[in-house]
Amino acid sequence: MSTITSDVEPARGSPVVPRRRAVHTGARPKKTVWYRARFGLFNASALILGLYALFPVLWIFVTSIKPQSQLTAQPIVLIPTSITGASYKTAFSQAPFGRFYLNSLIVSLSATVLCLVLGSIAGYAIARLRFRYKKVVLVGILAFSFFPQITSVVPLFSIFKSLGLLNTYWALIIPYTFMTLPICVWLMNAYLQDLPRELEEAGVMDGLSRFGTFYRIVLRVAIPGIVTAALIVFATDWNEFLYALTFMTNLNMRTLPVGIALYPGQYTFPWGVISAATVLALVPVALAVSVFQRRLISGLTLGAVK
Amino acid sequence: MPTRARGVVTIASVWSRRRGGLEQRERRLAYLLLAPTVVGLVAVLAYPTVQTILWSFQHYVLTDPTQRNYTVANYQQIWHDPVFWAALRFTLLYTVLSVIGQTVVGLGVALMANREFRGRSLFRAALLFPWMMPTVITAVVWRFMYNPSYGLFDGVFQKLGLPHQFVWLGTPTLAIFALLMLAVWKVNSFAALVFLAGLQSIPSEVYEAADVDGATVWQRFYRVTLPMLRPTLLVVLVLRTVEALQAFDIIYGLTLGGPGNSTQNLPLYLYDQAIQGLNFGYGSAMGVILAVMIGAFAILYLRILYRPEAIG
Repeated sequence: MSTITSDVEPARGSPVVPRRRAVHTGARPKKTVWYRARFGLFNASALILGLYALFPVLWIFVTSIKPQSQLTAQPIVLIPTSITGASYKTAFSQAPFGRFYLNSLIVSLSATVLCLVLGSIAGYAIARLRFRYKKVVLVGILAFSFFPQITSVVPLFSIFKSLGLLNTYWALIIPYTFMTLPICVWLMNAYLQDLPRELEEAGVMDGLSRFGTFYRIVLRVAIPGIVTAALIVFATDWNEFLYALTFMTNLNMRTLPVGIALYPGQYTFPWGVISAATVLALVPVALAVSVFQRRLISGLTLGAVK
Repeated sequence: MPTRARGVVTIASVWSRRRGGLEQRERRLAYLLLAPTVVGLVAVLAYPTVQTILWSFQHYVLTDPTQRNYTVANYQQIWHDPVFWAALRFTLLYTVLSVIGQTVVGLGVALMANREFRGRSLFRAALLFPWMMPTVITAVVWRFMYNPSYGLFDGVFQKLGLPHQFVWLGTPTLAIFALLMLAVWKVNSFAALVFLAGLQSIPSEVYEAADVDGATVWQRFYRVTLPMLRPTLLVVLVLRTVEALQAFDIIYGLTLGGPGNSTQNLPLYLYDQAIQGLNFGYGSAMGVILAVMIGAFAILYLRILYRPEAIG
């Protein structure tokens, strides 16, 4: 097939960066007007689609740094003439957004760690150990991710209430851990299966125990997979709303999504403050997306496709 | 060493001191490692579901301490409840329209992004954003943008000289449209990323063969891309449907089910009855109905997964 590819390659118009994979733009013999027009059109639509994906974020950022007078101005002010950090200050002084942030961090981080510990152990067992009905166990675990949250929220509310766990971090850490565990096991199993067995065998030959091999070798080599799983699990916990809304009735125990959604004043919303809080809530998301873009995409698609 | 003679060193053979019961030991270890996961999942996810089923057959109102006998009264009440039927109708309407919108737009974006161009990785990062944003916060942000006097949409319409000051969230039709716009925006990028992975697994030879045969752009899409993408398409459709059937955050943040009950779906009505109205029995009965609908699609999905040859 290489002859065909090398035939096509030089004919391709130069503005398109040489590819690693097959691209199906249809080879044009020359840079005709038609080709250039199409290329321009392509770039323009990529730009428009990119803007389409980002415009609410851009708008909320602009809103968060607008001075009060321009917030509700008509016609709207797309680009503020002056900027201020007043909304950010208010978010922390008048509303307990700092507290919401802390709650979200504590709950999401704890649940992520718990989920990864359980998930990597279970994923390792499925990927490496021999036992019967392996496939049934794996699909069975995955089936749990389809238990609708909305049907479990009422019984869990009742259970946590009788255990006195409402308005404690446990009321969220426990359900979050198991809510994300199926996908975590699934991802860890997929990654661990792809690791070369020779590494573990080397560890065994060097006299490591079974746990030693798992801890010192498997976990170290599986770090890319663990990071991917951690990001997806953390993002799911960070964004969760229904459980947080139901189990945290005390204002000071609210997580960030609930704190923002229930911010007082349904009709006269203090949009500057809300926008500032939203921008801050998006910081972890933005960090994850910009640093781990490739891993996130591979993890998300692995979870959905494989 | 016998292992050397065989030329293969299995981990288990080195670990086990005694040769007998090797497989049994490995199996026992596997069950031990899986136990916390399985026990936890059963306790936190399966047990509450069983509880929901039991409660759905009981008169269980938290504020009413009368005897809880087994009865089908909740289901009878549902049958005669016009609000339930409206919620069910809206659930189905929202599911069908949002899933179609998300899939079509997502496929378009994926076809677009499936080439090399400058800024491609930036483009893909931009795609990740809507999907990674907290749903309820996104909905609140869109509520702000839909504001009839100082929202972004109104402002842009005004600047373009178009008719404006629509009360987007004030009339049922516009509110449903506004909700669908948000749902498509939020999720199409996820569909696009999954489709992109699917598109990249299509071997280029197939396209080259189609080119040799003189296929038009449309034929190439319809006869090559679409059939090759079918498994991915199926998975996306099923997953999105399951998700759309239980949409809660997105509606809660944008319309809270309003105006009137025009955008109230089953999860919202369930929440209103069970958590706000403390009628656990009635809410549970609705939960069972919803779970059956979701379960049907979940089984479909798991069956696709269970036969790996069905995935491209």
